[in-house]
Amino acid sequence: MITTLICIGILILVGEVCLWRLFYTKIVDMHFPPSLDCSSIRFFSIRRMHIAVIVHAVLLLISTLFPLWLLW
Amino acid sequence: MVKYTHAPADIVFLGKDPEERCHFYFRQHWIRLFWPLIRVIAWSAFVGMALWLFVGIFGIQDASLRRITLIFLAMTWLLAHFLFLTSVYRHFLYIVVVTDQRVHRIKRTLVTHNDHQTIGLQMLQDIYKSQHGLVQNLLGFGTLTLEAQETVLKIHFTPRIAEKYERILHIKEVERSRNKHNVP
Repeated sequence: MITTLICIGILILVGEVCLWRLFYTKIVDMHFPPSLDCSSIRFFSIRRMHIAVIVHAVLLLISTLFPLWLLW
Repeated sequence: MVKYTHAPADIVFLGKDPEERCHFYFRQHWIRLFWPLIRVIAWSAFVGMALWLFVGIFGIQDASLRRITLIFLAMTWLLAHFLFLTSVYRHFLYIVVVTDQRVHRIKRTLVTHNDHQTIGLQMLQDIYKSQHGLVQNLLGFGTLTLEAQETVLKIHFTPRIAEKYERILHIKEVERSRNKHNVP
């Protein structure tokens, strides 16, 4: 059971990191000062997005692994 | 360690002329994330119901069958969430930048697309804004169409479209009058 849970946990982390790296390589050559942002969502700067992605990864780990551990 | 640095006074991106001065930039309206959000909620509800039905109510006795069901549901759950995350990233990679000379539409995806379309403000013949339907008018978004001689640039899901329309017209007029005064 532990091996399966660890494998799924690694899969989640690898997925999150790969998606973030892909996103970051695409957006890194565009620098945006927040004062010129006229979007409908202005909260998410790159730093805040990175924090949100880390929170998402932690929540996804918990919400996937905890039910599996309970019901295995 | 990832560093987030940006020039404090101006925007820098590939394809920008050093002479250009940026006025503002924007992404598509948040409503573009509504359907991906509904989809991830629906898939999450499906996984929750399936978990409740197959593992909770029916209580699959065969251990290996139960584990296969659990792994299948976990993979469905993960796939739904990764697809949602991809939609969020795609939303943030679609940017329209308005400078004093041009309007840039930079549209990228994580892997497959890397488009950069520009249209010169001095070449602009017409600017249209269109808002169709109750939702577009209530939330204030719509399609901005910029027409030059041989180019048409359509910017869908433009947030606060009336304000953007006015600002682009204003920038165009200011630059036109400045160029008139600079001509000897």
